[in-house]
Amino acid sequence: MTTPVLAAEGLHKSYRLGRTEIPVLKGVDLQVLPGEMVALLGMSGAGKSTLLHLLGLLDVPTGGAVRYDGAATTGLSAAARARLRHRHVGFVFQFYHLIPELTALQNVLLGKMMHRSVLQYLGERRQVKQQAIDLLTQVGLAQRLRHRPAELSGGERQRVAIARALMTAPRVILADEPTGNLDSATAEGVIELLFQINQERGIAFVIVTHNEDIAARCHRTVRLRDGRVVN
Amino acid sequence: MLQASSCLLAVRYLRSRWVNVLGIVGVAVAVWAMILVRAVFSGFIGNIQDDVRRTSTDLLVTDLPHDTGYASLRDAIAGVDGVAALAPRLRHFGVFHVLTPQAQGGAAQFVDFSSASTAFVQLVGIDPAAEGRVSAQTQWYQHEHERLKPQDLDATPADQADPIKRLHVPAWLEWQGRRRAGLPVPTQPSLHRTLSPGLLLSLDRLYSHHLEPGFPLDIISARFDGQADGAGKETVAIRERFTFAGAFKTRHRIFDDTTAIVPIETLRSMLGHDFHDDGSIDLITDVAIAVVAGQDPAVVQARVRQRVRALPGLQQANVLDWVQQNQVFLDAVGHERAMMQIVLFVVMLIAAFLVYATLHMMVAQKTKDIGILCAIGSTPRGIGATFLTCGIVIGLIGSLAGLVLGVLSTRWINPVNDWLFENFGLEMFPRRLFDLPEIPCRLEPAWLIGVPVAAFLLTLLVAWLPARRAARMLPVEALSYE
Ligand SMILES: Nc1ncnc2c1ncn2[C@@H]1O[C@H](COP(=O)(O)OP(=O)(O)OP(=O)(O)O)[C@@H](O)[C@H]1O
Ligand SMILES: [Mg+2]
Repeated sequence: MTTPVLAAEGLHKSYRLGRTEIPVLKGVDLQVLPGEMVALLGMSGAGKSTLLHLLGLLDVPTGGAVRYDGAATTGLSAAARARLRHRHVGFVFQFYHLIPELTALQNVLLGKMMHRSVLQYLGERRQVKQQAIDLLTQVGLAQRLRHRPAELSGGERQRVAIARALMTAPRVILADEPTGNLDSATAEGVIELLFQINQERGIAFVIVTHNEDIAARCHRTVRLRDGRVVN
Repeated sequence: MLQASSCLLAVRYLRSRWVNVLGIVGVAVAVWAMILVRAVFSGFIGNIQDDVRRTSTDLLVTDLPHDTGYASLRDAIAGVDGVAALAPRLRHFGVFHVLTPQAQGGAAQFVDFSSASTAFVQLVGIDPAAEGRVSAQTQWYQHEHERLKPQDLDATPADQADPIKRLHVPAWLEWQGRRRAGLPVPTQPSLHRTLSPGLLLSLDRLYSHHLEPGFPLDIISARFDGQADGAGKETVAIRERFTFAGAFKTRHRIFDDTTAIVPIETLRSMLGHDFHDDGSIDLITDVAIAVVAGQDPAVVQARVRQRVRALPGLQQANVLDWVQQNQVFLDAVGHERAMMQIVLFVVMLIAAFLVYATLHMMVAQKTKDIGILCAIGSTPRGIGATFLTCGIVIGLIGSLAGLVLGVLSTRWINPVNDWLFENFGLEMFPRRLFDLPEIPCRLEPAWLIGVPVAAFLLTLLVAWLPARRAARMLPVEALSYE
């Protein structure tokens, strides 16, 4: 049996609003195998984004554990979680979340510039830069390297975000409604790209979506309802 | 270790926000001002110290009882190892009245205290022969602006001169002055013999009272007569006629404005001392001492003090070095500089606050970016470093710019001041007020290094606060920040 690249075991998350505790996740169990594409469905407010944040170690669960390649991530410091996140997962968001001051190329490079000193980076700059250009070429933006996010269309921005997620060669990409902000034709292109990446690179995906068609094309669909996963 | 991403982001964030230039300019202006103002102040203080030093002797024995005689002190001090020369001094207060034709219109006996020809002075009685060996007074006469030469002050051999009339002016000069003042004179200058002891005033006094050598002037003062135990004391008015003998200029303004130098024996006789009576006290208030070159003045000072205080009745006497002689004045000047530095430090604080405010604003504006960076995998430290780097860049550029501007300003302050004056009649620093040919500037290496470094560290400190705030943000909250 293969070790899941990403696993949630009895994840609980509740938010405290004043004196009342609002439970959002009430024991989520989820296993994502290497190269698997999982669609995550659920009503608005079901806790999909919350779950994705927990899976990406951006937030800490109130109970349960997240495992990366079988290893528990509980009790790690913020810095350790950051390093693990950097190595293991990539994020793609609904609203692209690019740094407006940086060009498309720089946004993609950013991942590789982290955890490297200036000198270290300068040493391998050519190689890293070529890698970023290749990724942007692969997502169809070879002509947009020096454009700022503001000078790009929604679809182009999301492609830059995808290239950025790929830059650190993650084992799994967590995509939160990656097409939620795009028209259907553009969305189709982006989804195609995600499937292509999955096939070519064997990266696992957890894609949050409201679109049943997209969900149907994934290897597996899970639903969040009442704070639990329903297959 | 500075991460490459922090470096890139810091540069991009700074370049896209012109408001950060404000912080850089603030730091630069503060450093510039601190360097320039300090340099000018130190220049002034250096000049003042030189001037004060010029008017002071190496050591001064003072705080003597009022009836102290010179002979016993002289014998005691002269034998002290390290004492090169010594001279008696007698200080007293008086008012002088110039008997010029302008001032008195022929009626030489009438004193009008409201007129410009009258002024309050401190009379300093000196022994001209001895004084030249303990102070640089002879150099004062050779001041660059000087119109006068000392009027053969020591022309008469010491043993022949009437000690009461030392500092005397030649007979023909006094004859001219007296005739112009409307005083009785013989028909021929050759028939005249010098009547009055000489008196020296500062060059400024010479100008303001329209004095010329040979002019008569009166000193009006008072003394207490009576027994030493205080019985039968009475106030006796003194009026003594002098002849203006020449001018000095030490540049020490207070000294120049208030001092009249007279022969010590004249002053003693004004105070009731009879030169020809062996029982009379050779009155002094101070003894000026020159220290042998190469000897430590502090060591000699201690020796002299010990010797003087061993004398009967002189336990309270003091021996002061040149700084102590002018302590109040020098302290006042130093205090002024300290006050100025406080003002400049406030400027620095304002600049620091500016940096803090802009960086704080930047962190708030970039909250979403902080969330994004977290999602990509940046550590809290890496995020803090991004904003701290912004502060470092601001501090570095600001401090260096301020340093360069400051040094250049001290170089160009005089040409610029000249140019402003010639073309617009403006002066940044009124040199005439301080009577200096140019604005003095003194760059001190420690200050030159210390100020930019301190400014940089201060910027770092204020940048650290927003940076820490950024580093402590929760990723999810930062991401969902609108
Ligand atoms: N910081 C928070 N504090 C309090 N409640 C929160 C917080 N974040 C999320 N919630 C609540 O948790 C629940 C789940 O939110 P979440 O964003 O995960 O929903 P979602 O499934 O992603 O919805 P959508 O499809 O609209 O994006 C919501 O009811 C929301 O109000
Ligand atoms: Mg959501």
